[in-house]
Amino acid sequence: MWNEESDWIGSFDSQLARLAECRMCSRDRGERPDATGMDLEVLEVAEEGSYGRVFRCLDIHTGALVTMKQITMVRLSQGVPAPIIREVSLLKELHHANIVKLLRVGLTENRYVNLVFEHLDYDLHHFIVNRGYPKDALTVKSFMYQILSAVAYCHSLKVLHRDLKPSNVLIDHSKRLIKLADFRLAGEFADDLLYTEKLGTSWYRAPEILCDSRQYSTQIDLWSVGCIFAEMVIGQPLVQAINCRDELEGIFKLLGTPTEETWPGITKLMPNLHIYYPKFDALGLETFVTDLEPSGLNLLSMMLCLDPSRRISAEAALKHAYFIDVNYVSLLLL
Amino acid sequence: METHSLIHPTLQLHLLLSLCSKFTHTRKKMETRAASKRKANAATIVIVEKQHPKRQRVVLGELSNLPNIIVPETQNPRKEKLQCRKNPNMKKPSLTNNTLSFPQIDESYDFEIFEYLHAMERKRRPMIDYVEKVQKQVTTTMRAILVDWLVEVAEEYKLLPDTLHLSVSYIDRFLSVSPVSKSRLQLLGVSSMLIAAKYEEVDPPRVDAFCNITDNTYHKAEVVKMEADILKTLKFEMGNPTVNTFLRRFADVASENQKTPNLQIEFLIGYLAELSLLDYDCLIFLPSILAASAIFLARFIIWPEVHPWTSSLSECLGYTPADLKECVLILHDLYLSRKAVSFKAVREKYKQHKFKYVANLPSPPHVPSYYFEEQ
Repeated sequence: MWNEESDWIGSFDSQLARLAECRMCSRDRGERPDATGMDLEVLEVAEEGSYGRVFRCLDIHTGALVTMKQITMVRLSQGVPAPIIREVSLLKELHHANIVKLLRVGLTENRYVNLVFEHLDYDLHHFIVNRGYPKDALTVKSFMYQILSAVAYCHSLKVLHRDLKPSNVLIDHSKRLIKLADFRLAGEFADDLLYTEKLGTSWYRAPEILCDSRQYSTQIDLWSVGCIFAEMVIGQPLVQAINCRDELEGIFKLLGTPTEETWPGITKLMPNLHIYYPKFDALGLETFVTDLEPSGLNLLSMMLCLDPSRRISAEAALKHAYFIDVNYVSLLLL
Repeated sequence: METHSLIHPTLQLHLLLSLCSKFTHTRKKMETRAASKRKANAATIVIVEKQHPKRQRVVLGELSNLPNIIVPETQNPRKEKLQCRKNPNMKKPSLTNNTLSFPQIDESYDFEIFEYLHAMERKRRPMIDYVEKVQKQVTTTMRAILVDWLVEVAEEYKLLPDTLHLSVSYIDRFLSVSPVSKSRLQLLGVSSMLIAAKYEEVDPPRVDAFCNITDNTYHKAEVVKMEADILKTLKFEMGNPTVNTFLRRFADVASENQKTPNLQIEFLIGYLAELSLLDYDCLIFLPSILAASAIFLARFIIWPEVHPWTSSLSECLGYTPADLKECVLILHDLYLSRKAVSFKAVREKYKQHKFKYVANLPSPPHVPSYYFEEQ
């Protein structure tokens, strides 16, 4: 189907896919795949998922570590999948210090789309789990400011991330630099995808999405950022549930079951709200998030506001009093 | 001879443009593109009607061997129409209900989005003279035939206006950098529409549908291969603003101070925007200028006695009537069939009841020059 002359893949040709396969088969035997004549040397398979695999690679020309996300196209005859076209074109438009850089894109003749990103040491999830979470308040503040900067930038370009969670927040530990990643859902307008359980945890999803609202906006990302904020402070997810209904119940226990006064339009959105959920009085964020200065708690409460219309925007959050000493925070980025 | 539109969906269309008379090399050099267009438009259109046993579809026939006319610069300067000066008092454009049907975007970001769209429309615009500078076989008439046919395809598969506009944008951007043979121009068209549908539609048609629509002139593998070539050539940068992007932002502003139902003016603006897709001359204008000009002209057609432009339109859209004059006059010629007369698909589409018959609305033959003067 693809002849040599028109093969525009560059370094990401079919050899790379075979090399990756070879690596998968031979890693237990300690064999090193031969990457002679290629722009990338595959070092290891970093991750396997339903969509494909992630490889840690070495750029032969620059010597830099890069991450290659190799996405398997299931229905070859249908060409490049729509979400890939959207994701890649979206990433091509995002140029920000706190958003992971897409370095190259390639298609192989045998069903792979290769996205080559800058490599970062690890993600916020591992940082929280393995390092006993960021204990110093200044690191939390720095990370939060950077996450909000990236989110505000995305929103200013008409882009919602829609899948913000600690594992999608990458960290360059040497520079204490945060970068948002995995915009797999960001360009998706076919939002039936958004509500499927298989997309992963519902712990960071905004209540309006858990309520099945189709009228949502930039505020959904702010809820997720609020959940990440709380997790950085307490070292574990704020509300952990196995499904959307339990997640909503946990949120209502924490913040109180909404009423028309606290969330105008909720009865229309969830007519059976009081049948499915008891009327919980709010336990309050301060009950769970104890090690946070008052201005931080205030910002968190503005992010974790049940009513989306009253939830703070990323732009406004950056101007919050919590970041009054942001000049000192920026020193961490040097 | 009158063409059949999708109002008669059981008919399969084969559009065959008869060959134009050959020009000598010297004649080519001297002739203006406008003259060549007149000749092309005068060419006979033959319609072959055939019942298809399985499904209704429209098919683009052979593209004629129309010459590319080499135009002396003095005769036809295709000077770039960059965004004209903005009103210094320009306020933040208002977010209309139509801005983003779903999901809704916070109004606090509206001005940044507007500025970003203006930057992107410049960055991702096609070459304004690619037919003369890049293409060896593709002519402006071939391009118009292709676009006219894509309008029918979009109707057939009920694709969004954004999908159609993006398709044409991809075609123009691709043709700006890569020579295409006339035999593969239709392939470029369907593959561009395939990408645009994947980018924009909730449920895009499958590759098979795009093969069927060409009467299986191309195999699935060819369509998929061309899709990959387009993605590579355009560097996967598929999110460029189109005329429709700006029209969605200004839908409510367009009918301000008027009691006429919004739908008629919205459809008329959409019609003018789609007519602009047919005309290669419109590439010299930025999408935002075309959008503003479509609004200006639609208001003039519906309310010819009222000045089509207001201070609030100037503030919201960032253009004065003087900025729009050249573009408005081209759109007016298209509307009155003084240009692109032989391309019927867009006109037939907007003669339908569902579009309030806006293609049949009468228009004065000239836009008074004083409408373009500073108010």
